Amino acid sequence: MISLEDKKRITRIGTVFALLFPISFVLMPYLWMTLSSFATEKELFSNHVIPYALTFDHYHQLFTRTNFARQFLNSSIVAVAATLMCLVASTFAGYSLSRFRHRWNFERVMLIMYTIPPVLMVIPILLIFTRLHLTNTYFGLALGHSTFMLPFAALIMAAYFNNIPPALDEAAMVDGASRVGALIKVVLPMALPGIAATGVIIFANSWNDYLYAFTLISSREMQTLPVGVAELAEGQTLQWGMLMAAAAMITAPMLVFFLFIQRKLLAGFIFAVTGEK
Amino acid sequence: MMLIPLVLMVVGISAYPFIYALVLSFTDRDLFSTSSNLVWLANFKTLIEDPEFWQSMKNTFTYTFWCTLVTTIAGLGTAMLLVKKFKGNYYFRAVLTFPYLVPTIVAVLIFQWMLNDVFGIVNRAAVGIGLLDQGVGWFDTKRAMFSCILVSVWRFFPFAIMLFVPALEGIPEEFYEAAKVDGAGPIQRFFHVTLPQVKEVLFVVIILRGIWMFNMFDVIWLLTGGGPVGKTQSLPILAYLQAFQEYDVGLGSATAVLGLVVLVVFIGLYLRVEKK
Repeated sequence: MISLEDKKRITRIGTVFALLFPISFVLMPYLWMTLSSFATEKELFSNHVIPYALTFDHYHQLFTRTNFARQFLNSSIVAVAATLMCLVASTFAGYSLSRFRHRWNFERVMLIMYTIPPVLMVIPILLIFTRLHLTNTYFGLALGHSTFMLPFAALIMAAYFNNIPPALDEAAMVDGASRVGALIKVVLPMALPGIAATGVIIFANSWNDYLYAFTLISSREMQTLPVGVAELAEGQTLQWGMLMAAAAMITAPMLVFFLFIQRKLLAGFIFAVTGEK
Repeated sequence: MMLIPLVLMVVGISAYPFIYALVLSFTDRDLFSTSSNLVWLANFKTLIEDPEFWQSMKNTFTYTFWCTLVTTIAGLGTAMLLVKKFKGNYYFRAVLTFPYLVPTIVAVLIFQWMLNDVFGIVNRAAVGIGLLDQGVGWFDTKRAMFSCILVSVWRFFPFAIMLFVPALEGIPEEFYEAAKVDGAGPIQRFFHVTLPQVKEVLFVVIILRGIWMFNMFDVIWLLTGGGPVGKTQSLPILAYLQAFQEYDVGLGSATAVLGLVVLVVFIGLYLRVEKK
């Protein structure tokens, strides 16, 4: 006779066993990327699953023979600029969404905006930016990224502000602070963890973007990582070791950020995950 | 006063470019000239008579349907395992949600390497254990669409997990206990307890994933560029090629606008069915 305790244990083992399928599906590609990026050229095309000889050559080549370092810098500058721009604007917008009644339903406007294909938006944006001389500039690309990140950033910020009692800002205003003063001195410090998480999501989306960077940037020196690395992957004979090293290098900052915010992601951070374009 | 940034934001960065794009779709605007003529519905007429447009439409539906279906089912299945209590649960969740933050270019590069016809691990492993007699081309006319869907599922099913886990955790344990007392087996419990309880989230996952897969550009563009011979060319790819490689901005905008119209009609139908 199987006891209740045993039954529970069997379910638990069964669950973990079943989870191995999705886990290996998700992990295998990373594992293979990492292994390939350190494998010597000979090992890469040999039949060894685990390479016998490891090397840093691919990383070395990536930084010395390609524009990777410059592209890394470009991507970082654009992502930081986009994050700052979106955070400042979305703080005010989110605060107004959270504290004042609105005649129209902003959530519904958001859903409508989600359905517009990014390809459709990038065409007029290119034409407008060309006229304003914003193409091939950091500011222009950061602004381009803001066009798809801002509305959603405002929505998450509103969700965070909703958790902070309005009585707090009213108390500050009774003490003589202005609306903006109350927001900056009282509400913002309390919303800081939420703002940080929002910032990470904006940064990740800017860092990952290909379409806008590909369209709005034409000069080689201004290229961002996804576009530059995609160019390395063109042609007949590809240096797979170096490409895997590039993939690993692009992933690394995201991994750091992920460890930083994943608790929030997993705690039902629905607004944040719907920020994808 | 605080509303001003919000209104400016919506008008400046969304409404204005969108209306501009609508206007463009009625013109013969060229990428490099600044003058253009109103041609009214000529672009749309060209598209409707163009077999390439209809082929792209069909590809878009194939891609959207399979991606949304597999992402949703895999996400729900995995989430149901993740809400069970066991040691290491937290780490499993972390690992499973990570691909969502990984840039598309990374996902594409890794899979291009793994699915490489000569040196890719997938072909070599499949031949090694006898699953295949010889390596197959994962990006040939027969399998390119499958590969696009595979990469998209890998990249996007964590999204479904992230939405389903909190929804499943919200179902009170008593519901399952009551169903057990009534003699319901695991399958009945799934259909009569789990599914009705996560219905709203399921609806959100399907509609958002459906919209995003329909409009997906970078996964397909980077993986196959729409090829071979247009087998994976979806509407966004076609629109991009028309606008930026044939420099016919008017026609490209028209393609994207027609795609949007079709999408909106489908969302409308879906919302109506959902209400019943």
